[in-house]
Amino acid sequence: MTARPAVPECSGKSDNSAMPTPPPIASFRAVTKRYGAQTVLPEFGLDLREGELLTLLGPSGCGKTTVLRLLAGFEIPDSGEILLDGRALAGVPPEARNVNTVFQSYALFPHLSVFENVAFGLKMRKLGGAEIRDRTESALRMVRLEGLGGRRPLQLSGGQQQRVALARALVNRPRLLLLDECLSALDYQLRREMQLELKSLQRQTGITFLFVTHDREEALSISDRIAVMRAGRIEQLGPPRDIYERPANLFVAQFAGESNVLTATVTAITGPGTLAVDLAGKPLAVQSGRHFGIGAKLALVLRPEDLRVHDDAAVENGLAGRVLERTYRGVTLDTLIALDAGPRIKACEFFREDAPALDHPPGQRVRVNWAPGWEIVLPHDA
Amino acid sequence: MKNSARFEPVKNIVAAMPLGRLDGVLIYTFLYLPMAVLILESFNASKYGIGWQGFTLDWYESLAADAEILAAARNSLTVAALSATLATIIGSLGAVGLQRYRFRGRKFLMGLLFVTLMSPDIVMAVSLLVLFIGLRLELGLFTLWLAHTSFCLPFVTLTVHARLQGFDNALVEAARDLGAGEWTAIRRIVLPLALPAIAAGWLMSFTLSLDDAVVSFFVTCPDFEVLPLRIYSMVRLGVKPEVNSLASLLFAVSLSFVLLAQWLLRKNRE
Repeated sequence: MTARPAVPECSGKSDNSAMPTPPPIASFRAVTKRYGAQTVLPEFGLDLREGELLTLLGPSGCGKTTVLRLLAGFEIPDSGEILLDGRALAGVPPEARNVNTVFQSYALFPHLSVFENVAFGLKMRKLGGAEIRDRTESALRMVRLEGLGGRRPLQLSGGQQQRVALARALVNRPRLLLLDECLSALDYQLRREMQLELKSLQRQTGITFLFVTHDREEALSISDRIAVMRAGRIEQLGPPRDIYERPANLFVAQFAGESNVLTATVTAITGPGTLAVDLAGKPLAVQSGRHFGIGAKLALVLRPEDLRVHDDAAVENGLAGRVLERTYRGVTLDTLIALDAGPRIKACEFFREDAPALDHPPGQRVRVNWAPGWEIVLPHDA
Repeated sequence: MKNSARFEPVKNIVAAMPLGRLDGVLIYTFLYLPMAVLILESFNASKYGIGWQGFTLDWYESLAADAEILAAARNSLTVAALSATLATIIGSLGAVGLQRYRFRGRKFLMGLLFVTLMSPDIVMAVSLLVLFIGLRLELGLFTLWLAHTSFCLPFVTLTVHARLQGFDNALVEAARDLGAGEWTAIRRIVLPLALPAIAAGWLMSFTLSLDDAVVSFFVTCPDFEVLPLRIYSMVRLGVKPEVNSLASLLFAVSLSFVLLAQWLLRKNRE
């Protein structure tokens, strides 16, 4: 097994300070929003880049939907400035903003046909009948709903309603499309399909998408960049791989993926970026780009899929423990292990035909190890 | 399908209890027996309502020939249509306002609606009369219109408001997001969706206005008579059989309007 490669720059959209950055399509500058005594967004700042799919990821109540509603014009900031194409949006009502929203509930008009729903925005702009018809039909074609224009929204399935909502927003060719947890009502299978469809629609139209979700898998799989939010602040902003593999703190690490978190203490600095740590009495060598002093407490984050479980006698290194539980999940075999050092950790291994030693029954003594450097080392603060 | 399945056990229990069915019979007898007698009498050939002396349409015919009654009927229908319409316009907008906007005193205003709904007719009648005299308004069609509008208003407002309670506010936001101004969003989205409730409110107002005697008695002049008052003055000189047929007709109109209103509201819920 080779070491995990350094995070490559997947596309020109990724963070790259060498390239001149074009002006942001939309910006939040020190935007504060309060509801009564509660401050939902304290001095929030964010720049959206032209043509990207940016996801706001966070637990419910972290303010991500408020960001969307401020941009759409449904909420007014208490202070700060929101810019769209360099122009301040203060005082501009929702109907005058070149921004469209796909609502969590879809908010399709139940008394109008699918066609009338999609044509609504064009009609409001008083476009000609022929143009409205052409654009509405091509929008319906784009979301593969041609021929269903005459139906009422409630006669459609959840996935179809979702597509109507998308078509209704995209037909207006907005500068920015806001999507508010819009896949959360769909079942797992359909959600996966719609994620792919969203991504391809975004590529096809070139429209900038601002997507809100609390589903990390969704965020990781569709985004160009992810902003992980907590309590109205962005904890980390970056491409999905950075978020998952180089989380800025323990909160991001745990929110971005399943994590085993072990607490260790630094005993020596053994070289540039390498540390000797003490994990409940067991010495361990770890790698980190961060600076830690001797005696500092740190959090060792281990992703379940990075861990390998071995028979006790088979390997020298690794953490010793005992198998508590095994869960067969088809693609993977999950093993819950009680470490001798105390905490329980979960390993998630893929079946490989050349690995016969995957079978570790409950009670068996095992050793858990991982490729050197794959551990995530973070300050033990959160 | 789902609904009927859910209520099946309840229906079975009722069927298994003869007492339950007896209760129902008693209630509806109590409620509708007077009406049934009235309608029956309106077709009774006996002038004084003593025993059944054969079927007749005479009383309906003499009703149709009575110029005063026809004038009163015309007046009543005019007032009912005007009042129902004005109450529906104001009441529907009021309901939209109470539902859409959060402002100081909103709960208080809702409470006031219930007060007018429950306040005795006589109180309303006297206070309206005092108001009209104070304003030096000439009693007649105009004052009747205003008075009936005011007592119909809470019915419309509460009916439409109840409908809007289950309304997804995101619909209005979606409309605005797509370029509709506040008023356009209300006109194109909120009002059409509330239309069955609005129509039901109009029908209820129409019947309320048509049936009202107490308020009308106070706020109109002898020259502008409405049906309930006409009936009252006919009865003062002894019950004539024409009164039975007139009251039966009023009952029929009210009943059909109420049924229509209920049907609209139920359709609305589905």
